[in-house]
Amino acid sequence: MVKRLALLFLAWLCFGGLTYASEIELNGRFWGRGAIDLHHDNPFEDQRIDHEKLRLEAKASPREYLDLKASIELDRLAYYGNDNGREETRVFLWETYLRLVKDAWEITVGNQLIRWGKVDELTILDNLTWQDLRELFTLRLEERQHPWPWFRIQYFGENVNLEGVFTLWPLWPKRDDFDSDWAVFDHLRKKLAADPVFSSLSLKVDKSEPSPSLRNAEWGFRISGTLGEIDWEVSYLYAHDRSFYYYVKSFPIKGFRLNTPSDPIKDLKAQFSNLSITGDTAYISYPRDNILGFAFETTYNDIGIRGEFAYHTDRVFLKKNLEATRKAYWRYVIGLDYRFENGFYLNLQFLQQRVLGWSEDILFDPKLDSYIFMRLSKSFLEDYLEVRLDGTYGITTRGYFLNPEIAYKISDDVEFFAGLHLIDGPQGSFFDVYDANDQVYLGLEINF
Amino acid sequence: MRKTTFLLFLIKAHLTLQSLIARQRSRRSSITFLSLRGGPQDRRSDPTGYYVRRINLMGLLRSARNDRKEARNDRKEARNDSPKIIIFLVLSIIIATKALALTGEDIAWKVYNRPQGKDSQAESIMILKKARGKEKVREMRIFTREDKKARYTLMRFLSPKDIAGTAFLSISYHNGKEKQFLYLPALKRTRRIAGSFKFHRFVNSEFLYEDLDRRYPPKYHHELLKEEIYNGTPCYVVKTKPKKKKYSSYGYWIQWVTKDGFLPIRIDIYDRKGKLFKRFTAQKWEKIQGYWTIFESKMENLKKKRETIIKIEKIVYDQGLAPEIFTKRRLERW
Repeated sequence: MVKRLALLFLAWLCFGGLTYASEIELNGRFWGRGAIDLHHDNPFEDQRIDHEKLRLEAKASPREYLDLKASIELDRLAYYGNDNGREETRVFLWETYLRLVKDAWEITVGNQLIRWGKVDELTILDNLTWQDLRELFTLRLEERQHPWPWFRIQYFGENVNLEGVFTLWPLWPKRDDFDSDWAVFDHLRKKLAADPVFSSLSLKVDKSEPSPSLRNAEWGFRISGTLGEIDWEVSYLYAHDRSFYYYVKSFPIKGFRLNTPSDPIKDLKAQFSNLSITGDTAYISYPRDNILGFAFETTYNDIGIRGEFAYHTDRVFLKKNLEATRKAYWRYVIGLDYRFENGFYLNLQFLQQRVLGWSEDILFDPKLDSYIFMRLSKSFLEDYLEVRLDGTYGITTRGYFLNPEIAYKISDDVEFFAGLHLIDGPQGSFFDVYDANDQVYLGLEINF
Repeated sequence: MRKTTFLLFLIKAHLTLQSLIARQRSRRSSITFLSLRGGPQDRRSDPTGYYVRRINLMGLLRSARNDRKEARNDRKEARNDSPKIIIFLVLSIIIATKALALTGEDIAWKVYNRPQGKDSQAESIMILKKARGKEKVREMRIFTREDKKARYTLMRFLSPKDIAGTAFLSISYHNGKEKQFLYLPALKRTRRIAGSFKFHRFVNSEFLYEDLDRRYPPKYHHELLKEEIYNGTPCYVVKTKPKKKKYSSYGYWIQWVTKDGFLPIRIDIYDRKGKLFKRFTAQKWEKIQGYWTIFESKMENLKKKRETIIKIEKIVYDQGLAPEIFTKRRLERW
């Protein structure tokens, strides 16, 4: 409620300010995508997903020292399966902020997209945006990031820049709890209800979402600069955990060990005699994390090189009993990109992460885990047509996610795109959970 | 270098002439000396002095005869030497003229250092014409500034909507080093442009990123081919070839550079196989606030029958633009 009021006030300020501006720039964007599941192998799976977004924005700089921006977005996500479909439509403020500029200082207040870090898809320091993970990683990073209300102060010095950020509103990624192919608990409720053994067992989630307050505030700072040919930054963020695992303080089914994440009913049946059901509610909370980071970007011999390093003091990991634990954790990414003379573009990123104090009961994340990400693309037909392949491969877990896509611009502002999402992984791995979610999609983007 | 060579030639010519003159003078004085004196032995053997006077007279006559002979010889020598002197002087003038004439490298440096104002701000449009006659129009704002360290260029695209806000910053240091950055509003990030990107098309136009470089002359071989009147304008025609493959995706190019202002008004670009495949032409240029400015230019892809036209609609020089405009901070303020 406080957040809504504050944002409405800010919106009134920004929209109101815009009415006095002599030159207002108006823009809009429509993005829509429909996806169809390739394998109909589960009675409860989503066979079709539609996602549409419509954004309207206005901006102006009525004074040299003042920038105003106001925008709203309408977001509709709908799932259709064998049983009832469901739909979620929201209207929310997009980037809506006021920026004051004076000499080397800038202060920005409001909903903003602030990007830290230097690396592309596998970025580990880009934690100041709210991520819409309702379709998990099938949306590109820029598509799933949303602005968040921050107070941001920046100082641009001769050699070094300083930046501080503060928000009263705790931030964590958005996921669905149940009833979608990408939800935390998948279609578990429906599967339990349909099973003759577990039909009486219900499951719900109780989230202790921290409210906006000074106690729950998040803040951070970043120092950045350039040394020779290297752009660097060092950052610290005191925030709520940003992983896409829920911090399940307590799971109502005790004595349970998930060995087949893609089919938990199978494990429930196998371990039935050892189970103790204490309730029907999984209790979720949102613990804190400290993230220390370093990032750099440079070029060398015609290659772009970027890297990030992050140390987390208390990252959330899921255990095999479906409760969570917190561990210190570090990870780094090294990426490079190159454009060949024949027009091919290659972006390669290598990520490695290590859980400190790892224990065998941690689900999905081995003690040392490595991934490689690749983006390969080329344009044809005078750059009207682009063919692109994104792929992520877990070197340790041997799971993969592939996304081939083709995009065609029928004019400057209108683009069609189509592609596939292919996911696979060995039993017990994270990718294995979403193995049955391979899909084909078709989309449209219009800028106006 | 050329001036030093010319000066050396002048000095040598001067010394040569001096030595010739000195020889002439010494011959005349030796004639005079010989005509006034006899030898010391004559005086001793002739107490009366008659012999001396006789010897002196004989000496005088003899020396006069010798002098006349010598003078005749000198005149003969001079007659033989005159053509040589003339030839020498003519050659000196020719060499000196050549020493003062511009070479291809000189012209390249003149183009590189062509005055473009302390700063400028321009409103431009870029028209992309496709083979089938389709057109795309991009509006952009271009800022430039130069100081003792570098020349800075910031280009911000204003339309169409899909690239509005995209900005390109180029910093071209006077020691030949270059840095380029690209801001993409969809990513809210500024990226350094690696060298491999320079060989690719700038916002889908017929200009490559490398065409936006200043082209530091020592990286290329330059050869003055000829001087020619092109479209009524006297020009130098210079062939330029990169010294290393990594400096350019082109094989070589031939440019027509105006003698007045050192403005490249036509560039024929050849690929690495020596085939002509692109042509840059300036359609309209004039002096604005004392600076030669190309108001309309075209880059044609002769192979694919596409072209990109850039038109400057408005330009103002020397406004005192702040250096802060040419920073990553400003790129990201959109």
